[in-house]
Amino acid sequence: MELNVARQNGTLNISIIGAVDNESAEELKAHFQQLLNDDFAEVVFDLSYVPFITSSGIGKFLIFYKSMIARGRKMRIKGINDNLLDLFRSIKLDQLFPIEK
Amino acid sequence: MDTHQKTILVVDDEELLANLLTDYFKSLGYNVLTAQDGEEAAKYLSNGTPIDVVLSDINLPGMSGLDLLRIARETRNDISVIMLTGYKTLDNAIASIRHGAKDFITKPFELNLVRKTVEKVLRSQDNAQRKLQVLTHCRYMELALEFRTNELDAGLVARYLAELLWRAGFCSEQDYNQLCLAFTETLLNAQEHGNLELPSSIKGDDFEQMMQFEELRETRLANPTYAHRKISIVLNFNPQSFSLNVTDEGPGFDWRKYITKQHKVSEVNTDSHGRGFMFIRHIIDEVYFNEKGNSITLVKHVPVTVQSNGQG
Repeated sequence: MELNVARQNGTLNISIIGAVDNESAEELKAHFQQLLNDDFAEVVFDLSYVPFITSSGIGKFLIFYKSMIARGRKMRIKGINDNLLDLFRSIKLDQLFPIEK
Repeated sequence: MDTHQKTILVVDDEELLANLLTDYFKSLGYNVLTAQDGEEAAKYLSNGTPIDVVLSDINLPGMSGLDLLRIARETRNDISVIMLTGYKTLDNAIASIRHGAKDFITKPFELNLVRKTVEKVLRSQDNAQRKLQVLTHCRYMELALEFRTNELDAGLVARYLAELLWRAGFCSEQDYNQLCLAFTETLLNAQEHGNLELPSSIKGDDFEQMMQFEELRETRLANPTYAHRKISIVLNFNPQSFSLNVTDEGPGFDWRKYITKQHKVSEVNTDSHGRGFMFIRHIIDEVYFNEKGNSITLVKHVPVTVQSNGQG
């Protein structure tokens, strides 16, 4: 898994490349912990090149989201594939933050 | 070399060079696609276009050749990437090999050298694929694997099992990813919650609390009582269905409270253990446990669309 981070005004654009499995979920956690200290208002995840995310990876997203909300920041996800969208909807993640294809 | 017409994707913003490579490889009988930038090339990769080799410039406007390489490596491991580079970016080209490019060619180049490099890469790709083609006409397969808990790489084994089913024509590439997910969740459950007896309740709500879970995981992985427990995996496959049985040596769990839950939930599921199981049920047709709850069997039937393509 690779993570590309680009800053544009107050927005952090994060593009993830590759599957988020159990191992890369740990890498993701380390990135997220670092990112929380950055100064930004919104984070946009581009998941165009993510074939799947394990429950452990979803757990990291959820904790990151909670920390973001606690800091008054926004989060959204774009570029998600149909299977992943279906999965996200099945656990109602679309009720927490905007998710676009 | 495999005789089916190979497809090369040429990615270069220099139109003259892209046309030269396109005309040359077309004259050799290849099917050639072109893209002027990384974004256009990435679309070919993400929409599943059949491609054998990507010939990409390293310096592209917008998404770089290295980013394109990352996308190819992470999402289309059936494709080989060859980088084209000027002397100024030779360091990048060498780095690209470390990141999974099969080869690189420095500009200016002779077309004959490009042809030889492409042929070399295709030969090595064919050798790897020929081994997997054994599965194409397979009518029945049974595979039994056993691991010690501390030696099981759940993600790797999950990919291996899913790839066997993909190569045997059981599923599409998209379904392959779904199976990777379901198998990873199943193996992780057996490893972490089964044999290592890690309660998901200690995962916590923030990254600091999550450390507790990881620390306990490391401690138990170093303790033979937990670490040497076995995980047995049996995959049975025929062209109509497969079953995957995973058995651990842990105390089992009360699966009834999960299996009787409604498939659709009414609120956000933040229970990580239950969430993984939900993913499995979302993807797999039938899920069974033994009485003790330390053995799970997943059954999935071949989708009708795949069956009608000659597997039935």
